[in-house]
Amino acid sequence: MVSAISLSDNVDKILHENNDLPSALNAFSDLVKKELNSQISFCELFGKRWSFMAGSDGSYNAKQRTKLTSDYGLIYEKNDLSDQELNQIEKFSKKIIESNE
Amino acid sequence: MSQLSVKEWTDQVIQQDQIDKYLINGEDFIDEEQIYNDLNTNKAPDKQQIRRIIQKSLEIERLSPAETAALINVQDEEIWEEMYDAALEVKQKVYDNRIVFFAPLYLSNLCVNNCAYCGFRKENKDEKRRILSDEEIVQETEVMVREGHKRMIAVWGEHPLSDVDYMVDSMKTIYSVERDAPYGPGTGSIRRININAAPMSISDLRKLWEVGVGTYQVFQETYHKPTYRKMHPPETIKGNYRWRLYALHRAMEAGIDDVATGALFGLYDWRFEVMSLLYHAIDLERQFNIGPHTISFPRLMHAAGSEVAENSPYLVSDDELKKIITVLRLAVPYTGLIITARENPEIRREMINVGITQTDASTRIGIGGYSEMLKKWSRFQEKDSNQKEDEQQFILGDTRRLDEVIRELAEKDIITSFCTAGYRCGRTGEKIMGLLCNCVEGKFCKLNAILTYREYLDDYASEETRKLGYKVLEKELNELDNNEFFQERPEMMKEFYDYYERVSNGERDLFI
Repeated sequence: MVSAISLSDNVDKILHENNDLPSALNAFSDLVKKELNSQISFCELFGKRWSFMAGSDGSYNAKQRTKLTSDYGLIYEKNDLSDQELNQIEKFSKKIIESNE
Repeated sequence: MSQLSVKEWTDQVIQQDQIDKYLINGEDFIDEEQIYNDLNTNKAPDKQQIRRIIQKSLEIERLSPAETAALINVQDEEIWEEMYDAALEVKQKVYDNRIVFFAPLYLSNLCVNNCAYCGFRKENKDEKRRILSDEEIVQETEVMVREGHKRMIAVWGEHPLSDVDYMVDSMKTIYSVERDAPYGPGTGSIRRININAAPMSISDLRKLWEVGVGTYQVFQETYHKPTYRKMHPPETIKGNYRWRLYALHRAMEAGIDDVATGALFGLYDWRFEVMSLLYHAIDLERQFNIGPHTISFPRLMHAAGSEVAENSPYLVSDDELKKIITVLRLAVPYTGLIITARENPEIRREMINVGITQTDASTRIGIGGYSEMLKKWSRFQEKDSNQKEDEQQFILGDTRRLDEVIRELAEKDIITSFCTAGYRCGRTGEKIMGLLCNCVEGKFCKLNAILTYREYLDDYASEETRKLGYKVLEKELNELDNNEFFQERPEMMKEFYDYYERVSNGERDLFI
C-alpha cells in the first residue's frame, strides 16, 4: 500500500511545478502509475459526455468512473486498489482541480 | 431562437478572425495545383508499390497524399480486388466486426442558403417549411426509441429560427425522452446525439459542447473551389468556402474533439474530393493531433426541384463508390466510415464488405417523418416508405425497418452495435485516436457491441431476428475466449461477463 504522506508531498510538488490543470493532472497520473501501478485518467463532463482531458491513454484492464466535481470525472483501473488508496487518489485529484480553479 | 431578422442574423454569423487564425501563410489547406500534381505524378503505379502502400494501411498508418493518389490511379482490377480485401481487413483490425447503427432526425427545413442541389434551398418554393415544436421532437424521438435506436444524428437547416439556442433546447428535449421497450424489460432512450449542423462560431459551438454533443458533422459538399462557387451563391452564408472549411477546426477549439467530415460526391471529380478529404484529415491532425472521427460520402441524388443531379457530369457510379470507400478506408485507417439509407440495400450490402463502420435504418428524413411513419404502421401494420418529396432534402434508397436490416446482417454473422460507451468514458479525441491506431479501441467495440446487441435483441427484436441474433452472440462470445488481448486482461473480462449476465437479466446501459 502506498503511503498517503508520499502522495501528499508529491502533490504539493506537482502543484508547484505545473501551471495548468491538464499538466498537473498528467503529472499526478504518472505519480499514481509509479506508486500504485494503476492507470488513471481525467475527463471534463458535459451532459452525458466524458471527454478525455489528461492522464493515462493506455488501455485499461477494468475501469470505474467517479465524479470528482460537477465538471470533472476520474476514471481508474480497479486492479488491486484498496478503498484507502482510492480515497487518496480522489482527495488529491480534487485538490489539484480546486487549486487550478 | 434568435430575435434578429433573417438579414441581421445572417450578417453576424461569419467571423473572419475565426477563419484567418487557421490559415497557414494566408492559405487554406486545399491547394488545387498540389492535388492535381499528386494525381498526375502518381499515375500507373506498379503492383509492388501498391502492395507496399496496402501494407502500410494494414499497419494502421495514415497514408500520404502521394500514396493515396497512387491507389486512386490503380487500373488493374486484380489489384483493386486486393485493395477491397485489405480495406475490410483494416476495418476489422481497427473496429472489429461490428456495424454501428444510428438514425437521423430532421428538425427543421428552414434555410437561408440556396444550394443548387438541395431540396431545402430557400428558392425552392415547392418545399413545405416546418420546424418541430418541443412536443413534436418528443414524439419523433419516441418513435425512434421504440424502434430500438440509441444513437441519433440531429439535422437542422441554417436559419435564425433553428439557431444554436434552438439546437441546444432540442438536444435537451431529445436526451430527456424515455420509453419502455416493447418486449424486454428495458427503458429506451437516445444515449448519444451527433449533429449535422451549419458551421458556427466557437462560442456557439461551446453551447453545443456543454449540452453533451456526440460528434459534430459538417460536410464541405465539394472541395473544388470553382464548383463550390457555382453551387453556393456567394451572397449566402454557405457561399463562404473557408467559413465552412474550418468549421471542424473551430469545433475542436470549442472542445468538441469528435468531428466528422464528408463530401457530396457527384458535384466534382471524385478523385479530387477523395484527395481533399485526406488533406482535411491531415490538417486536423497537424493543428489538433486528432483526425476526423468519421467520413461520409453521400452521392448526389435527385432532390426536389433540382436540376443539378440530372445534369452533373461527375455523378459517381456504384463501382466508383466502392473505390472511393476502399481508398478512404486504406488512406485514413483510424476513421469511421458511414454509408446511409440514401443508398439502396444492394449497394449498402456491397459497401459493408469494404470497410463501412456505421449505417442507419428505419430512416425518415421528412420533418415529422417518424410520427407519420408510426401512423402508417398502426393503420396498415405494414411497412410503407412514406417519403414526401416536398418535405425532404433528398429521396432515400432504403426505407427498411431496423429489425429487418439487423436480421439481414445477422444472417451474415455480422453483429450490430448500439454502443455509446466511448464518449461517456473518456475515449474521445486524442485518446481515442491512440486507441484506434493501436487497434485497441476495436476490442472495446467488440465487448460493447455484444452488450448492446443483447439489449436490442431482448427489448426490440422480432422473434426471427432474436433467434438469429443469439447465434451471432454465441459466435462473438466464443471469439473472446480465443483472443490473446482478452486472455491477457482477466479483470476486464471478469467485469464484462458480470455485465453480460446482468444485461441478460434485464439491467441496461452497462458498458466497458
